[in-house]
Amino acid sequence: MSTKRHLIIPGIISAILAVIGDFLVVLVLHLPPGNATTAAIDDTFTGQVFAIISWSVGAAVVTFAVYFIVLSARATEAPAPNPGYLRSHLGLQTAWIGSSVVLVMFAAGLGVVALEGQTSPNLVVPAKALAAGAARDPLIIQVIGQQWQFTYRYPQYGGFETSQLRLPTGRLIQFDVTSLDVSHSFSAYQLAVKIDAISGINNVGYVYVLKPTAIDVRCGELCGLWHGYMTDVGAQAGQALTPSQFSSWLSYAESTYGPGESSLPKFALTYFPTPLTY
Amino acid sequence: MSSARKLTIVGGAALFSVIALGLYVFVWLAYNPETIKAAPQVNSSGQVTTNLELATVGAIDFGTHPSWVAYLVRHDGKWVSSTVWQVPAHSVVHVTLLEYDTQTGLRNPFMGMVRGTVGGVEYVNGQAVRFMNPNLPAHTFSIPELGLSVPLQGISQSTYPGSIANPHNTHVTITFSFHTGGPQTVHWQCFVPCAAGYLFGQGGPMQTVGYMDGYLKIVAAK
Repeated sequence: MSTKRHLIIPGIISAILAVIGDFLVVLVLHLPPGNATTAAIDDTFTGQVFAIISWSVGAAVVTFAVYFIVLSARATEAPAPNPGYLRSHLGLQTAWIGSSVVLVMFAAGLGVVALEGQTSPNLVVPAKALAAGAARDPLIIQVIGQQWQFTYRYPQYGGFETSQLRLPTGRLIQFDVTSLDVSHSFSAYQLAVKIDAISGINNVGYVYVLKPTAIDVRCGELCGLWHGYMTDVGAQAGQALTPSQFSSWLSYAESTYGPGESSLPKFALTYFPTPLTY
Repeated sequence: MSSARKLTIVGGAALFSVIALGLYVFVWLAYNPETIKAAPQVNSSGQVTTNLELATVGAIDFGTHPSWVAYLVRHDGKWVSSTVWQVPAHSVVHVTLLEYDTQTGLRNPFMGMVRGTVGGVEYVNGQAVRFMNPNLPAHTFSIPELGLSVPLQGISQSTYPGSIANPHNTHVTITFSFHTGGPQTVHWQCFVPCAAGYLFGQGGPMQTVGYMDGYLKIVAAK
């Protein structure tokens, strides 16, 4: 059997396995975090791309390994080893190093684009809404972390504060994230948003929600005894609402939480209040 | 000093450290506050209710950390050091809390709002309160999973904080009620950084079950 045949046969098998696996990844497996926001769509797409690459490379490695193990087991006499031939084979080395470089650089590039997307409103808002000026009027929601709960302030509506996240679809959201004590991380799963909450620092992130959804919020930074309970899930989960629902909720929230606004400190990007005693 | 002697000293110190660390971890893991079960009652309208009598003190005055601030629960007529309590599912819990500690103030003034109680209100010495001046609370009783948070007004700062064993001063009596919902185990905590002597008031009793936080076990009625 010629040397090329030993490349072609496992190559065809691994290509078939790759195609089947890739279809399953895209069509059957619904990778998280879904499609509620542009960022989530980006993250899901990135996950699919990496799943496809991983499956394809994995399928090739396993197929070639199994093929040559079986071939070796069936051989009546062991072929003479020729390591010198492999070391000096320019084509094999170029293919191996070249494909590795391409994969690593592709992953790095994708990561940079995804990271930039969370910090630039122009990359978050869909093109049509961007053209209509959606990036110019973000809804600012301040996320305040403290051991062990996130609370949310709405400075454009009097600065009231709530313990539950509510935001509208079809509008650019600007999260201003800070902490009152140790470092936390605001992780809103369905929004594909994860922003560190650090005392004295205002970290900014953007999201554009495409459809109503529940939003599971968790702390993504080990922050003390009850870190595992620093969640807004189930009945306490956040909600992305339609604009009319959000408007109704605003009316309710302003009447419910508004009377407490006078007790709150004036809205600021960061807070470092000193308790009276300590 | 010979090499053997140096080796013995270093090895002995290392062994001592490992044993001491192991003992510390063992004691920490072995500490498990007793679960205090609140007796269910059924009122005339068929609603299951329970009474939970609590107190907070500036110093617990006994145990491993006598100087730590703590919650206590009344059980069989005695004040017990436990922060793990059991109540029936789908019931109304009536809480009576005696606040013996002094006013500390809230790090986040939003926690001065009464949330999640029946009627959105608490009663401080019989007076209905919906929003509390953020300088007045000594502690809060908060269960984020239930959306419940109640600021607990402390006694005047000029008064020495009392304790159950030594209740030489006055206290504030706070009452409120809340619905438990379905069976689950939730955590409760204080949102006032009240751990004196710790960084930002957030260490020690704020990070140890049995003092300023614990579990509420909501179990199905049998």
